[in-house]
Amino acid sequence: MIFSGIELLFFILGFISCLAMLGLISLNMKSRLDWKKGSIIGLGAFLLLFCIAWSVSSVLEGEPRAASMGIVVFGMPALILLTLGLRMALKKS
Amino acid sequence: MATEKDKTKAAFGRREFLKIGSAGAVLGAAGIAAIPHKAAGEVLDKETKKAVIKPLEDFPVKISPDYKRFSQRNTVFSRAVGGIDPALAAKARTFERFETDESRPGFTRIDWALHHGSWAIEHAATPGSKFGMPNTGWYSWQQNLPEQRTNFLDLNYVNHERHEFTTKAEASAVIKRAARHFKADLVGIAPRNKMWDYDKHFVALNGQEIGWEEFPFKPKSVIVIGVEMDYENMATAPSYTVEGAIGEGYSQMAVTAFQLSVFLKNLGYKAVATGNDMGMSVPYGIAAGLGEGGRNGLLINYKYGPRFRIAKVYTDMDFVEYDKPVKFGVREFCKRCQRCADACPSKSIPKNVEPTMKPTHGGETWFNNPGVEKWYINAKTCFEYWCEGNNSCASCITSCPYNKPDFWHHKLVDKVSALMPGPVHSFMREMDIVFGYGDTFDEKAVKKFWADKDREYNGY
Repeated sequence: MIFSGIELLFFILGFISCLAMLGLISLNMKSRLDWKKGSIIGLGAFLLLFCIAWSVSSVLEGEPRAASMGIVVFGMPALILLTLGLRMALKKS
Repeated sequence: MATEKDKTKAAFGRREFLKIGSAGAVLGAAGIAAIPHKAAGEVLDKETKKAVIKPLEDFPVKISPDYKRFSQRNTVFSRAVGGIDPALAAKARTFERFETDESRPGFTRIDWALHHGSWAIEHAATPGSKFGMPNTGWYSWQQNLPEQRTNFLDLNYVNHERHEFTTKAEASAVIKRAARHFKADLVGIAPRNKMWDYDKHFVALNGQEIGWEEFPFKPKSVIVIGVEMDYENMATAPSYTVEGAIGEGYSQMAVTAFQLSVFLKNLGYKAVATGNDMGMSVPYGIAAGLGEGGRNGLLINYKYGPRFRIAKVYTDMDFVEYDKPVKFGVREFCKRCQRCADACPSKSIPKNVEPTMKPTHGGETWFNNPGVEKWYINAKTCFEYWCEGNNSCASCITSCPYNKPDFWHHKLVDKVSALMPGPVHSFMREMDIVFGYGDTFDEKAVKKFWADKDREYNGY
């Protein structure tokens, strides 16, 4: 094995973080985000990344229930915040 | 059709994208250059640890002025194996009876064989040490001189020429590095403290009490060694399977402590390796900075929680840098958590919120030594359950929220928990349950331990 599971996880997380940052910047350029919309989307993106990190780590340590709960506890709010934030940002005024 | 304005906007977007990308790459490279030898995660972990783990100058547990040293005769093991308490002795004789059940995961013939295989070194190399027998096998008190060696293969002797270390820090570092080489997962060094040594040693097999005057030298330091027990195996508690983790821990204790004692002897210092004998391991572990005392009566370490075994090496070496006790919020967490008390099948762990100076469990107390502020467990009912269940239980280790694999997210939770007030601890306890950690009597854990899926044994 070249990389351990946790090394691969954080490499991919770094890549996704980079994409998320670029996405956020591009969104800001398209439709100027105020601090409220930006915070909601930013928090949603952070929670989604945390959810991926938690759940994959839980699978790697052999605790599938903790992984599922991670998706529920961190993933659901992440999706809600992202949906809400993006709807607010892309809403035509 | 795209207008000129749109084209300009798109081109500007691509330029911006490239600019941002380049800026990110420069920042990343600068970041890497700034920390060439350490990963950012390691630096972050080290810095946050400083906020959580506080070194202390004094022993962090309140001791009563009328505290008296404990006589080993009064441990449950001494009374049971030594036959002092006939009823308990009768129960002890039923412990480790050959009784298997193929329909019950964790209690099959294979689990039983794992139990014996794991304990084999401990039983052969240090017979009786698991119930505190002093001066036995590799834990022998002998301090032979080179001329007393049986033959050239006998390496267990005190060298005439004593190696003098330049500094105390160097001595401490060398001892710890050697201990790690001998497979110690944790090492701490504390000054010898008579308070934590048994008043008198007790040889359970013949009922003989031995005073410290018979010990071959005056110990000045105690090297405390922690040996991790396997997380996956520990999840099977209580069962014969979990004896695998416990027995393996005890066997490794014997190997590591013995090798370290021979290492010290070769440097010209007197040394005796010990397991459960000589003195109480938990206070020595606290003094050596390996952790805090928990509600379950065990030493809770930052990395392993209570999932490790403790061995000690007594030595006359005192030119060494001693470790300081530490605090990282265990006692505060234990006040509200109580998962071990809930999981204990014999209800031997008290549920009073605050630690006390004397037992509160309401049963017999001869096995407790009052005068120390802690949670006093009922060792008798605990041991009776062992005899009934025919295994060493360990539910209090498995159920403890500090018992986690070494993964970043548990350390994060521990750190947040340590920095937060009480109500957060209650919430963390509930989350620990909801997330499925610390289950006991878990037959799935036994199946998981034995499952062959995704395991590789040939190094490919």
